[in-house]
Amino acid sequence: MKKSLIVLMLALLFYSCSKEKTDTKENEIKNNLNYGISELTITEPWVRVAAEGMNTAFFFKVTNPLEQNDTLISAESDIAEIIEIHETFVDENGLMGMRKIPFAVIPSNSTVEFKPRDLHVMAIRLKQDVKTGDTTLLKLTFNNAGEKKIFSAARDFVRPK
Amino acid sequence: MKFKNLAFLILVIVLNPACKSELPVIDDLSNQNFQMINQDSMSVSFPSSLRGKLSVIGYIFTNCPDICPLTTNNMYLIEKSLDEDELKNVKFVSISFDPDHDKPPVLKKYSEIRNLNPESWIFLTGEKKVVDSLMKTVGVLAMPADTSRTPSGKEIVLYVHTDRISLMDENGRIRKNYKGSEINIEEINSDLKALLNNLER
Repeated sequence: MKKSLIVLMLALLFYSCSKEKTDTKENEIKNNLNYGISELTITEPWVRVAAEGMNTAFFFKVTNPLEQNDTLISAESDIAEIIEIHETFVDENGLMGMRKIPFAVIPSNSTVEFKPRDLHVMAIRLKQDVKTGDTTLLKLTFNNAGEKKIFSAARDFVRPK
Repeated sequence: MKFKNLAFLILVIVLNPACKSELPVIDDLSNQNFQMINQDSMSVSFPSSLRGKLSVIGYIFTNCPDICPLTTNNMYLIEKSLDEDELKNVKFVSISFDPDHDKPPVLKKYSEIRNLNPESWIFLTGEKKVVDSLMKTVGVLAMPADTSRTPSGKEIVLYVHTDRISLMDENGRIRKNYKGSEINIEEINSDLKALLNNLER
């Protein structure tokens, strides 16, 4: 009897902890997605410092609070000769590489992070230096949300999360 | 009595600081000589010119927009994690595996735009066959993958490559390899300190 009671109490404790965790996570997502946001938004944009003639990458977060998926289909900026959507990958031998991808899907009710070692918008052959603090305009075109213009501040030397 | 003596002996061995587990030698480059060129177009013998100091070595190509800047970023963070005295005995070396593109002025620009300290940091490139030989020796793979041609006709080659930072001791021996773009700064800082202690003995 005593044993059963202990097992029951432990089960209840476990349930309440996991429920709390799930609730917190759900609230976090709801806060991120719905708090005053009724359309696709782009936050925390930045671009990596690089010299003229070299390549760099733009990073940002795209939040899609809608019930419909969206797709990033192109990116434009005057700072480089070519702007492409890229992803970083690890091949079967553990080597790292980057490759162009035709689009990036932003699922409904989610946030997709374009971040180092992952999705990014690549700027190939910069027409000018991009120094710390410089601000660069990037135009992103989404299938449903249309054009979104963002200003990305240049930075480097960050401790990875 | 015999057991007690044996136990005491084992205890002494275990507690002896000289018996601490040391970093193994992964690649011994001490008898090798790679004639490289630094960012100022000066000839540099690698690794002999670094003898007497520890080296944190990153393998990069400057057209890389993501992984290699992270490696450089992490080397900078390692540099910042060391104090002034420690820094006197540590060099930071970025070696390009894309010598066709990464000529000395390109490397210099890469360094300058990041405000890297030229006193503690050197960039190396060289003849393709020398660079290829060095990469083969240290086990760094770099293969051309995606190639883009810009409207101005410039060819941009992206490499698929090993993601690596190496720690080399004062005798030109590679003692540990780490993932360059996601290295644990505390781990290499601790390894550097252990090797610096040996250096001071």
